[in-house]
Amino acid sequence: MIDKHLMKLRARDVISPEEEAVIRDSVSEQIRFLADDVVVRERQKIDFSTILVSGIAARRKDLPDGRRQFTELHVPGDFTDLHSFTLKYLDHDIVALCNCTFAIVPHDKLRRVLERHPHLTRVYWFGTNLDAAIHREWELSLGSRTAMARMAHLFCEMYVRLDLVGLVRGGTFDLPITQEELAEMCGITPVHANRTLQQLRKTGLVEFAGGIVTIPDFKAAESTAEFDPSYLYLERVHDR
Amino acid sequence: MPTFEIIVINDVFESASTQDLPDWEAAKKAALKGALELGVETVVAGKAFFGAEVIVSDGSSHQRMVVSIGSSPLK
Repeated sequence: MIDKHLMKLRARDVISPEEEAVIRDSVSEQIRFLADDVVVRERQKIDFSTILVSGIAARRKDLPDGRRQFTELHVPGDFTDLHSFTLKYLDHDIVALCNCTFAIVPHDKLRRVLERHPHLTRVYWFGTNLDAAIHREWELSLGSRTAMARMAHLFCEMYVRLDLVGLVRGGTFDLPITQEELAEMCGITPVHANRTLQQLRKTGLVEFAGGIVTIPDFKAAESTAEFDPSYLYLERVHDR
Repeated sequence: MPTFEIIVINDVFESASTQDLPDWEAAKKAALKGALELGVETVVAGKAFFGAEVIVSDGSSHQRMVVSIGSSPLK
């Protein structure tokens, strides 16, 4: 059920068989959500965190007039709301962008894991730090990159994160989102998103159609996006 | 449901939107915002002029507008 989660952890650290057993044991159940479902609602009191098992989910904040901003995407293997363990409620929604499956980790079980396994405490602390690094990179994109670089950057990030959990095949990966959602991630209008996608396609950098992304030449896309994956902390560190 | 169309002058780009827009005013606002964003990016990228025809319609009536942004040195 949480193989992708372990794959993601093991890409950056060494997880012992004993720790793997503890992590697996912390999951109480698996829940399915449909596309557009709100998995965890802003300000809802929660006593569990969720690991995305399959599908694509996102963190999203809404304004009263209906305008929205996505602040991070989640790929299979991600703890989507580990920070709720200390915050107790979220200041944003967690939404399913397609049909998704989540593993539920009750906070009381998580507390036992963290108290008894200091290395796993550091591993999960790193996880929340990584989320913060992704948020900072998105802020930089929203504030300073052109629409084309912003969008190319998002596709490059998803390529790297999905590749880490074995979900990229020959430069292609599933990203089941609409153009409107893509616009809300990049902080541009749907019209602008449509034109930017056309430019990316015309220049042969990225093809996005029917929820499938193809990046034929990652180096070229990386250059247009000014993408430096160091903020994803991809190096494997033994005993963080 | 109101829809809008943006046709960029002297460009191959044409975008017709059927987003879930509640009313005429929302469609007009979304269309103008979209065209202005394209224009700003175009002019900032170095082109002297951007022009687009914007058409908002709701089936029974439609309104055509022009959006233009330009930059030229003063002498």
